[in-house]
Amino acid sequence: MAETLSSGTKVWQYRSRNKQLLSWFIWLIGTALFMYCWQRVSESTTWFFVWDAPRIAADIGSRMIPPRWSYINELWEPLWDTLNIATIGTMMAIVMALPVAFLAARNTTPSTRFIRPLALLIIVSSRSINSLIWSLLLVSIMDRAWWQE
Amino acid sequence: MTDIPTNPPDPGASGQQTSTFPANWSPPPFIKNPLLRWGLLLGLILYLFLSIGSLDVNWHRIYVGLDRGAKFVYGFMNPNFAGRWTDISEGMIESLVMTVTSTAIGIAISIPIGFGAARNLAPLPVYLFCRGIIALSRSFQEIIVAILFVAIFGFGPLAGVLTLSFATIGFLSKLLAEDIESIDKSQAEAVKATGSAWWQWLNYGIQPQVMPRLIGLSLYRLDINFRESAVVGLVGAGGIGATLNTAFDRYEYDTAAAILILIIGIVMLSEYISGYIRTGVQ
Amino acid sequence: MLEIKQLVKKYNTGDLAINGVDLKVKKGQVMALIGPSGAGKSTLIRCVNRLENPTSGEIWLNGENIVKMRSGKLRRARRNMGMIFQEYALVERLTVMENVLSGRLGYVGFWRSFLRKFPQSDINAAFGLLEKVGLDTMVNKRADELSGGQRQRVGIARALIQKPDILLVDEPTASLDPKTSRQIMRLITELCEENQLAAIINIHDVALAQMYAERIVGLREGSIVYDGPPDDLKPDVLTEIYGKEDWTAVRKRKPKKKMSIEEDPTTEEHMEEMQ
Repeated sequence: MAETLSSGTKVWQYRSRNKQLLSWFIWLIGTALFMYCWQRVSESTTWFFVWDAPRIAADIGSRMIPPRWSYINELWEPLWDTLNIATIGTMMAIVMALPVAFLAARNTTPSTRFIRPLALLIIVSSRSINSLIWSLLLVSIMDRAWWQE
Repeated sequence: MTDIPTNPPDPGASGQQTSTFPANWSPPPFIKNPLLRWGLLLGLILYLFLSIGSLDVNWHRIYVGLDRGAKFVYGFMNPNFAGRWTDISEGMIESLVMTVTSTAIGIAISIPIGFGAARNLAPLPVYLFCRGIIALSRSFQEIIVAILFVAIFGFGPLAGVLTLSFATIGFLSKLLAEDIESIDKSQAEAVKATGSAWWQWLNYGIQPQVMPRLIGLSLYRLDINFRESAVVGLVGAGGIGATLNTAFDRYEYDTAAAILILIIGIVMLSEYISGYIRTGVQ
Repeated sequence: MLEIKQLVKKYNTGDLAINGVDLKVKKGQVMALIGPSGAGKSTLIRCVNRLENPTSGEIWLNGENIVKMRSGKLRRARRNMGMIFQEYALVERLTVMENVLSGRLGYVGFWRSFLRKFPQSDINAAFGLLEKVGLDTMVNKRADELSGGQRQRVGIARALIQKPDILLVDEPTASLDPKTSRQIMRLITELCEENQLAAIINIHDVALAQMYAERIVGLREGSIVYDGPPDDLKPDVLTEIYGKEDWTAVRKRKPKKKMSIEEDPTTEEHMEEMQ
């Protein structure tokens, strides 16, 4: 932003005055927002526990070491299950995801009016809801708690 | 036109040796060693057989549960916002508050760690230390870290904020460090050749190159943190997760659907806004 | 003013880039450095401002040995040496003005440079230089919006705003078309003359070097093989620097031999005959 003053010297500013004001304003709003949010978090926190945290952390830490390796015998089956969840889940995901991807891409979708928004909606829904929530839902449908048979 | 010869024409007087081309051609296999190739294929089939076999699907249960599934879909069709509005709004606001706080704190911590984890900026001990922190942050899923932090710091959104800030480090610092390592060296070199001090060199030579990506990544992380904040509530770390869990437990699928729709809506909105900001920054 | 004594640069891989070079540059002298690729020209220039670290030897600038300097003194020495790069090396996302002002970073403190509040004298110098290189209408354009020749001129302004004692120019015309190359070389030599600046110009175009420099130094495999005025650059000297080549050859057009129809496979008659 170069201007020439009346004395003939040229001045230069990094940002014009309006942009500078806008920049300060945004920082102000951001800081105010952060302070407000921090205030709310702080209100809902039992600070007594927080000050006690190092002691508790040390306690937990001391109980973590040494790890109880004998427990590994109960872990083989869950490990196998975890591996299967990952692989079979990924395979099923690829089968479902590839068509949706092609339907959602602007240059390969057969219809930009109807099919593409639908595919995008599927993608957004899948992204927005954490997989844990889906599993909550599916568990409640299939009702398969570990203590039941 | 004459046919295309299957054999190359005889060059005649030059007396060179002629060779015949093979009759057909197929692409070379992906894995050259046939033993390895077939071995892997057999192993894969065996694994699939075993793993799908272990799936133990109780079809009767699913048939019964389908009833509940239908109730869920029905609930999705008419989401109930009004019934538990106070719970929903409180939970949502708490999630949003947690998102803003944790992203701000996360960015503030990630930037120095990201710079420390860039091989072309940091000396070796600093580099190893920062990379260690990043690896630690990335190893554990947010839920697990949340459980630990709830145990240490008590129930409430603070545990959630700390969880998400810690997770942000792994994401943001790693990508920032990679971006710094791939900058155009000559631009930074030219700034160094003018006799600038280290901080000036960072400000003029490095920062302009990494700033757009940093802003883009921060906005992306804001989105991720919001989605995670909806989940850490399940273990008591604050946010809409607790409300959602309660709704599922009580089979109040219409309320649950309302919450899910709100989450999807906010994510879509943030995607739209961040896309707008990112093009503006470019 | 600049004196290089027995400079040696050996890389970890064992490559000997510079093999005991002795060189003296007087104040205000424009010197061109020529030689084949890999002769060590770039390495030599980059050793002078320590963008590369020499293995051994001394470089004396205004009575101080640059090779031994640590960070603070090195920065002050670097302020005195303006460098112009082959690929312009402008900070792409900053504007022309910011790029030119970045030449003054060695002279202003951190906060002033961070807030872009440079002293008015620097701003005046920047405007003056931009006018001299012909870019005063593009003060706030981003560097990546400029053409190659324009970017090189910004690079020149950035080097000159440092008010250096010597210019180190690394292949300024390598990426430019012939006309722009001459404009840039003319600009550099005129500015050097105006400000009594010494310059070491690393250049691969021998004709340009002869046109614009007052002294030519030829480098081959890390050693100086020629040091003298441009007029003495005869073909045998060039052979010594670059290797055997027909230095006076001019492209001759050989007349096309008329082929008969049977021989020439591309005529239409031949194609028809084949049917």
